[in-house]
Amino acid sequence: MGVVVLGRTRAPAKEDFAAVFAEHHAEALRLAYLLCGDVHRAEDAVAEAFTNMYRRWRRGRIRSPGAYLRRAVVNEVNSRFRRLALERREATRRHGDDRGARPADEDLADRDEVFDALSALPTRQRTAMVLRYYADLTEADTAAAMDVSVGTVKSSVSRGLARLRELLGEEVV
Amino acid sequence: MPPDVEARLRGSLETRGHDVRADPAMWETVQARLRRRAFVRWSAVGLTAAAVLAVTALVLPGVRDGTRIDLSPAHPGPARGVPALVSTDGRTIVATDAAGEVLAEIDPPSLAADPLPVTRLAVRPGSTPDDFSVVYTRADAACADVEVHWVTVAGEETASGTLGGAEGSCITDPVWSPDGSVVGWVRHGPSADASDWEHPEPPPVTAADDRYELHVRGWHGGNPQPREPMADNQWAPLDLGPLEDGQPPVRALRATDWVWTDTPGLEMDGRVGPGGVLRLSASHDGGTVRTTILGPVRQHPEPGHSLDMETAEIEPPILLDDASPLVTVGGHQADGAPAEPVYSLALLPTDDVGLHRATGDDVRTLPLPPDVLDAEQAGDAWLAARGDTVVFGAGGDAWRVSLQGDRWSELEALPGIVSGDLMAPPAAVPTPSPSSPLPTGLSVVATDGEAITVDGPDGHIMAARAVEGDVTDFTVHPDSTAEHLTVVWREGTGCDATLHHVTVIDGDEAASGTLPADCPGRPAFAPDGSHLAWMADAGDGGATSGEFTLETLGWDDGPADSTATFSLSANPAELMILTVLDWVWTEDATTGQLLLAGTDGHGTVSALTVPIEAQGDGAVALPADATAEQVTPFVFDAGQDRFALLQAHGHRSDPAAVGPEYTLEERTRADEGRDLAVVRGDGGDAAGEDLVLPEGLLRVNETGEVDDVWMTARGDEVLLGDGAGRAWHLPWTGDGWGELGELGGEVRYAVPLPGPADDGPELGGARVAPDDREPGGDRQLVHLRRLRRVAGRHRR
Repeated sequence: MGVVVLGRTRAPAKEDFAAVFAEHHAEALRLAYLLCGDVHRAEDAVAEAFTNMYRRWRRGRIRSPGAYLRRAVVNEVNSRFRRLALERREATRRHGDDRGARPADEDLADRDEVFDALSALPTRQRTAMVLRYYADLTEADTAAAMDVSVGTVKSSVSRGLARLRELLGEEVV
Repeated sequence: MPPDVEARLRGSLETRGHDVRADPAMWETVQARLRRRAFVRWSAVGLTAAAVLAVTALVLPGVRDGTRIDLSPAHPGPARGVPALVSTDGRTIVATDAAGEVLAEIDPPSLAADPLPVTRLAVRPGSTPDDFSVVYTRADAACADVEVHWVTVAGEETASGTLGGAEGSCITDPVWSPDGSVVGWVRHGPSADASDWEHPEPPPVTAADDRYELHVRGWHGGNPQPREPMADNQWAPLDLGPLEDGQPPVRALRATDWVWTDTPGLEMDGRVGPGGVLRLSASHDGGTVRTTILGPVRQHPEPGHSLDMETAEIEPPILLDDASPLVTVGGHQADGAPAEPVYSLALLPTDDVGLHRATGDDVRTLPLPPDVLDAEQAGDAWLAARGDTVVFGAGGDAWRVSLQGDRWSELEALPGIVSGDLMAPPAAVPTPSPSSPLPTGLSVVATDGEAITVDGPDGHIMAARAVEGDVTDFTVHPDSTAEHLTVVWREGTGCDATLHHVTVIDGDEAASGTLPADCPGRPAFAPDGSHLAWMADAGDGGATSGEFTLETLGWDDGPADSTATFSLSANPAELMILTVLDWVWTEDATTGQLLLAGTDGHGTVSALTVPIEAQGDGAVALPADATAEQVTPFVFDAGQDRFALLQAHGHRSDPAAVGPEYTLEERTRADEGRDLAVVRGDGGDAAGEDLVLPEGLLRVNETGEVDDVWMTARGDEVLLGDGAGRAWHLPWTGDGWGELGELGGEVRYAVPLPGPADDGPELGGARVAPDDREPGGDRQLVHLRRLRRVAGRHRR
């Protein structure tokens, strides 16, 4: 039986918010874009995440800005664009039936095909896969960023990969 | 051999991510949003406290113009029906609701391009936050450069323009006619010749003498006409000469209001035309400032014109006696409707300033402390009213107050506002998609994540509260009914989460606000409703904080001042998520325990209990030697072929109040398959048949987990949700389970309530009258969120 000992809270720390922005905004934007598939909406989400972050930052409550921002961006993207999921999937569907421009380079074409397929996945699966395969987070850190359990991350990634294989026409082993 | 899907996915993400370039303007966007949020007001906790509140001024690194960022502490939320405020700090114009949330930010080109500060504004009558027009003046301190502008905001569309300007003359407060057909202002400076004035040029200066003029512009009413000013300009000189023998000339004349002509008590002898009369505030050389009345002005007989200023019978202002108001607004009356209240600022016998509200013979006065508004400031004070709400200010500080029943509310400081006006409150909350009819007699509080609704017994929505964020959890006060309901909800997750509360009485929002909470988890009320508790992430919200504090907040018809923080500094289970599930009394109403649930990095659910006890002064605290104990989690073997996914808890303080318990359990079928069943228990023993859920009702993932299941109950009514938007009603009829029915719409979480005719919950087979209930005894089941099975134990 574990025991939790009651103690004191710790003191906050401070650092320069502009420097935090300079260090993290580009990566946050890339993450947001990969989550929502739209640069302008990603910029909006990242700006909102930084705006929300500032209140806590000035009180010295953020020790790991990168992790905090990652979590904030995931929340922001998924909450702001929940209603746009159908729109995005529909756009992806139309893009996928040759109405959109396709790169000539076969490798790039493959990557577009993969990205389009990724965009067609449910939000939770897509988020888990972007955090795992782009941000290279551990399952635990992915779970923390998504505010879900590790089990959910595992199942989301597992189902997401299976769905990707299906969409890409790969043989499921 | 082609790369596998994981390698292809990595390559695609790397390529697409690499192509994204950050816009250098993003930093400016962040700063602009922070400036916009700086308009959030704080409310005074009391008059004295409000007077000494200090502004926390921060300069954001890199803000080039040195804009002050004033961030407020938590403030009470807006009550339904409170007018929206349109205000200016001299630089921008914003519309805000009663909580200070920005509804619209007006940014016409003139504001961005011109350094002249905004000095006064007036909102067109009939405006709403979705469609409003504002006329505002801009001037330098010496009146060397003065402009009058207008702006209309209709949804996403904004139109703006200039009404006039004058160099070397002052323009005072704009005022609208009550029907919004005319806007006028007083110009003070060298005289002008009306015959030479054509829009938009100002009157040419023809003499160097000093005089006042009344200028008016008509306003198109709206669709199909554009909501913008007419082309006609009308003006007339105001001959203010000596008022009476021995009275000094009037100085500093300004219009304060425009009143319909059929307002009783103005005694204009029927000579006033339909254009109304103007209230003017003036001073004369003696320094005394008083309200005067100017009239009449008449509507122009021809379409396309506003007022017939050439034939206007403009009378000299009437100097009222010393007890008369300094500034007066309101009292409009039209179409035989009762006159609106008249509000005024006037000197009291004590030489302090009083705010008066008069409806007929009923006059209510609120004395204003000198540090709010003194007699000297009052000469320049502005005042705006709508219904029972008033805003007023002078010298860059403003205040809001309203008459609530027969009492004035506390004065709410609105620092930094140089001028403001009121308009209709934000539209009623949007009605979410209604649920399908629920069984008769069952009311539920539900959320789809975007709104909290009270669904009545017949399925109609009795009350709805849209929320700006994303509702992730809520808890209902144990004394709540469908008619008198208090809900505390959580928006967002992690350290972006915030806690909010609302009390709804007979469908009307009686109180609401935001609770002071950092990184809060799910809140839970004490069984007697006296306190609220939640776990807070004591870390920075990053990936592996693992540090939590227990926060408690007193509750007495709303959040009280008593708060406490208890740190849980050790984390033997290495939990990453820890949240309060329920608060139960253990022996009597003085000791109890909090039930906590946590998830570690492997996804394993743990349960903790923390002892808590009531103090003599009504506070709650952890005992000095308190420890949190890790206990048997929710997943446990209860027999060879069953184990519970969810163990419900009754409140042990009063056995009579401990209701039936419900557990979600797994059963093995004869064909070795697995079912999920809801089991009704009474004191730990099974009582009644199991309700085997239809196969596939709850999602079971590949790793054998049931994600995000929640179950709540009240008496014989059980609600079960899959955490993905579907929820079902499972009624117990007394001798067996009734028909399982699905709640319509997206339901992220729901809690049953007693219906309007509910005499009390049926507990253990005996219906308990409301007066016989123990406090909180009817809330007998734990609300379980994000319950997860141990991997591999629930494969079909």
